[in-house]
Amino acid sequence: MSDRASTLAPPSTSPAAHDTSQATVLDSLADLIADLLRSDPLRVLLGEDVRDGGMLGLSRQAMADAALEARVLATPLGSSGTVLHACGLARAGLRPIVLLPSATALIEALTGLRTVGAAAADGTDRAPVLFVTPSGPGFGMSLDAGSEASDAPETFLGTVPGLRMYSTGLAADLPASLASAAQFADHDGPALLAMPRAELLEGAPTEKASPQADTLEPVRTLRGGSSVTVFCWGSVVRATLDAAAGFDSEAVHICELTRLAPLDEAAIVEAAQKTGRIIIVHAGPRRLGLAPVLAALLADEAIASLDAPIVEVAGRRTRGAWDESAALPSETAIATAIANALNY
Amino acid sequence: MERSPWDPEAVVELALEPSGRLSKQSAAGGNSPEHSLNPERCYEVMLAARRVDLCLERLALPAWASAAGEEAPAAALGLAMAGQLEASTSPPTADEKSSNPGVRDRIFPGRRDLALPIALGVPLAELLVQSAAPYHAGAAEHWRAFRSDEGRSDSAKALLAQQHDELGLDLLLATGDARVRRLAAQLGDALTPELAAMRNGVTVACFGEGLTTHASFLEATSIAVAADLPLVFVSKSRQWADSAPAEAGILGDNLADRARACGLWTRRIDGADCIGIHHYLRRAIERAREGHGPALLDLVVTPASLQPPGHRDPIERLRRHLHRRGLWTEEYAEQLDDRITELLDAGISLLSGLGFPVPEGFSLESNGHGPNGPSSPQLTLTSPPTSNGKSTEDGRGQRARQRAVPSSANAESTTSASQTAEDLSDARAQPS
Repeated sequence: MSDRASTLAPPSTSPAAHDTSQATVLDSLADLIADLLRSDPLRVLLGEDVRDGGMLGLSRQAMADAALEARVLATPLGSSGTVLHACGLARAGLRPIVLLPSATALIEALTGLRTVGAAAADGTDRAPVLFVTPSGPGFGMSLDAGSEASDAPETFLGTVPGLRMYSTGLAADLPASLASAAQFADHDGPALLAMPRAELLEGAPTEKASPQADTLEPVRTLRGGSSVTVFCWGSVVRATLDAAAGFDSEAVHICELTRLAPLDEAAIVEAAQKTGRIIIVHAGPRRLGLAPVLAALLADEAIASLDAPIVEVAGRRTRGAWDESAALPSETAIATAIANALNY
Repeated sequence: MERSPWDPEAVVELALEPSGRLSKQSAAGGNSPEHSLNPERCYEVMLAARRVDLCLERLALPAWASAAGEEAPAAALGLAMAGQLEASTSPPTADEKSSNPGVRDRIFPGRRDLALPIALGVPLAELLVQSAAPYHAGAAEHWRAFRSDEGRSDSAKALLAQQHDELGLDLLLATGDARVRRLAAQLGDALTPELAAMRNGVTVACFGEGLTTHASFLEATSIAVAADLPLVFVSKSRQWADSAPAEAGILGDNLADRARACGLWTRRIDGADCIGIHHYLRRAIERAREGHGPALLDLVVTPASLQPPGHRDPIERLRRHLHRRGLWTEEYAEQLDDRITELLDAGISLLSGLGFPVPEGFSLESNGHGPNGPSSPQLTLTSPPTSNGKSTEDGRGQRARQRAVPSSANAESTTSASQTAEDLSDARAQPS
């Protein structure tokens, strides 16, 4: 984990914010959110402070447009209330986008969210609501640093029936990921986009995405290789790429899972069978979560192709804001796992 | 209105007194209010709900808890909203022709509000199936098909939201529903025609007072007030939260006062008075519909299981009123009871046909021979005593009560019966 994002930086207000070539990821996401509202009159934007720029300034472009302002709805602090209020809006016919400061709000609302998701999955009621939240370390503040709910929300939210979960690890892909997550079919259940905090604050130039785009591949190949397959998602993607940089360019095959639910199981099995050696890298402690689900899937579907034990590389439970980077496995730990797999 | 230690209302415009006499008080400078509740229809709905309640108890559903004695809020709400629906659907406005005007209003029912679907036209047989659906696959499948039947035209289909078990979930979903109506009023044609038609609609959320100790209540009222939503909260209060001492539930004051401090328009009303409830429900709904924001009605009910005096039973209270007006006779009561029994019989047959295990010895008779035996406290108020103290079921329910309760309570029941006779004598002398 680098020190690239140790403070809660204010959103860009530079005149170049609308210049595509210069826009940061926050600029691009703010523009895209406004475009999402423009392209669909049923979309509304919710959050505690959305009428004042919102989380990281993501609602400022929507508030700057007089035609959209009425659809930017402030909600009280009560986070589980906001989540289920949005579900009520969705059931009544709207398509809310909810900006949350952390995934813990969704954990607070878990029982209600599970019921809403189940009704959507059964086709008895609709719930086209999108929750957008940062995840993983990066803010350098004690908000919920070290919380498993924040670092690896999929561990908890994977129990919500019908929930589509997106988790994109690189800033450049976040606008496309948001656009994909915001697309709903008639009876779609709720959706979640978890965005790595550190990537949000990177400030690197990012291209805009079309509000109609649904182009994100659920399993993306970030680096081709033939000896070991590394599955990763969310906050650990950058570290995984950096760790693999020291190995032969043909050896390490890196797959980013950009959609954690529903999983594209066929693509995952195919990627595993390419090499027969599997490493799963994720944020948060090694306990429950998606990694054992992937391991069980591969044991069930690809056991004949496996040449080595499946290895899990995880972070650990952290003890406070000062310790938050420990939520991610180190580059050294990832590199060691890759080396061990190659030498097995 | 019966006085209570926490009654904050200085002037009650319209109330059904314990004797069954209707009292009216005009607001300063105004006319005496009139009510639009059809009392016979309300009596029938409440009595049917009481019989369904007893029937469900005898079916031994795993999580069924009787709500006997608490029928008035749901009956009054159902009849108030059914009237609103008729008014809104005939004739539709030009804007509504391309949409379903039935979505203009939505009710989020509380647990065990049986009188609500009955008032809105759900057949008693289907109500039995719905109640059994969580516990039986055949019932669940039948209910699901019934609920999604596109050809169904009863009011309940348009008005009633799906109910959930999760504590507080429906309250927060209701805030979302109400906010769509608020947005529809603000944005109008910028939305789809279906949503634009919701602009004059109202959302009603029903719950028990126990929920007011849950975070969802604070969140829901906060959102409702902050966003000025057309949302009417209807709390059915037993004056304590379930499993908690009274102090925990009411926090030293009453719910109406607490809600008023949040900025809500509130009224605390005798929950045994269906006419008063109906009157204030309509006022709350109308003011929300006109854009004056959310409201809360705090309805104080008394469960039949507590063996209260007869006038605390909403069915008996209304029966006394009907009797005063010459609308209640023993013949009418017998015919009504037979009709309800016939409808419930059809429901039991339907359940049996779906494979639901109806307990051996099950009986619809109110004579204490059901699976719960004569000690079932709900039997005591299943049928209100007549003017001569005789039950409408040939006195068998009355005898069951005499067997079921301790001697002190029997004395109170006897007193209650005496009061009934006195009240009715009074009614003959002073018809309202």
